[in-house]
Amino acid sequence: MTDSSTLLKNLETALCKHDDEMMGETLDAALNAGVSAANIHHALIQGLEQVRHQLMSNDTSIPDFLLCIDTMTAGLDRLSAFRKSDKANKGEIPIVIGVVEGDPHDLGKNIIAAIYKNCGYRVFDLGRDVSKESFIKSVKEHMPRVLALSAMMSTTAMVMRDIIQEVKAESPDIVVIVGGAPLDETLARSYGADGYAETAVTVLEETEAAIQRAFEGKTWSSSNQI
Amino acid sequence: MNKGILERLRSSTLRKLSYDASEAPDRKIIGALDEALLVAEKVAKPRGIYRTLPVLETSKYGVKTEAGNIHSAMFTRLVNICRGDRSIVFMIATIGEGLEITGRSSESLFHQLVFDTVGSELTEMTADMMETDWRGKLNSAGLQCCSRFSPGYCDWPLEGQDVIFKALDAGLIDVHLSPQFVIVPGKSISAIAVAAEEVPISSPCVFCAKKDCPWRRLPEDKMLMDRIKAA
Repeated sequence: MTDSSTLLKNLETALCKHDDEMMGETLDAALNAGVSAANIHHALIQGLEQVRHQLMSNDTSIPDFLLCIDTMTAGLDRLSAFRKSDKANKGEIPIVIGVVEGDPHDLGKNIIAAIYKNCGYRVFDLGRDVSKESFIKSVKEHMPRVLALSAMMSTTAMVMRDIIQEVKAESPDIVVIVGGAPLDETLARSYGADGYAETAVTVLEETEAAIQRAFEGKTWSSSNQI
Repeated sequence: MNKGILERLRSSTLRKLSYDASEAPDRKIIGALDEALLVAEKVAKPRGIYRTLPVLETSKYGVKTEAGNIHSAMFTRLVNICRGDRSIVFMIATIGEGLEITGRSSESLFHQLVFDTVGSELTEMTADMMETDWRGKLNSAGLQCCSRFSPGYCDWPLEGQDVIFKALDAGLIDVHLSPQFVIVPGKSISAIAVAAEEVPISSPCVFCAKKDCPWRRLPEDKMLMDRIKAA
């Protein structure tokens, strides 16, 4: 019988190799051996971290990274069947995410949403072409810690400023992260965002840093950028 | 779609996904690609439309045609150095919405990426084929043309879509423009090009000082610029 630490290591390996079969078999073996769902989830996050770092250092490609996310998602789906209290997990940070009105490009947003979801955020994905009113309504309803906005065109990115202003007027403590091709850090600041996620690889660090800054009451300036 | 086009689509998609054509990608990748190509063959509708309009006048900031003004200083500079009667080719190419819809319905991010990439590559191929067509006709008439130039690139804002859609009846190929100037379906390309007896350079990139631009098509050429200034 394989011990728990080997099983957890094998889960990491299955994820890094995007081997769905190995993931399924190892996950079942780990659950049968009594390994906790929390430890399994932690191992999967470790695996995803490894792949993210490989992507940062150009040791893997975006398609391979997405295959790994798919493998992780399949693993988490399998795990949630065993983890009945999953939805009551108080540790999850709620996040509302969507592509702004008029913009049909949602592949980038889908990737970011999957990364957030797999790394312990509770994601409310509003999809693409989302109106300002829908964002405001969703923020009121779910009271998220983070609002993530995406736009891929210069003409659609401009509406972010309005959304941020109105959402912050209602929920001043919310942390707003923006991302997408026409944006950069300067533009993100001018729209009133609290953080700018340049790529899927760095989105977690950017989000955590923005939450931390908000918690400490610091403003977003170049000196405290990660 | 004939076999040759499918093969070209397969290799260009693999290249775009950063897989080396010389090494065999794993079965997951091949499986997703085969599926996307099969769907593309069934549902993609490569179509296009183009029209040529004369240049009425140019100013420092734009090129005037009967469809409206092209507000790009870089493109205007290119038009200004052309010799003989100048005209603008307006074009739109599309593959329809079928492939996009199918790709979006997948829960796998990798499948979404593969479908999206196949769609983008097929759209580029469709636009290339159209360009070959109008370029050939213009060349036969003794005219030269620059490479195609699209709104949203260089100094031409996305709002520039408007003049292209005024020049062409895009409804004929089931394409339209959203209020935010986004082309629908997404897998479509709109562009213009200048045609004249002599078009000395193929792209306005030559005039641009942004050396690190990822979309740059021509290097900065000081000698060429000096020749243009002298002329």
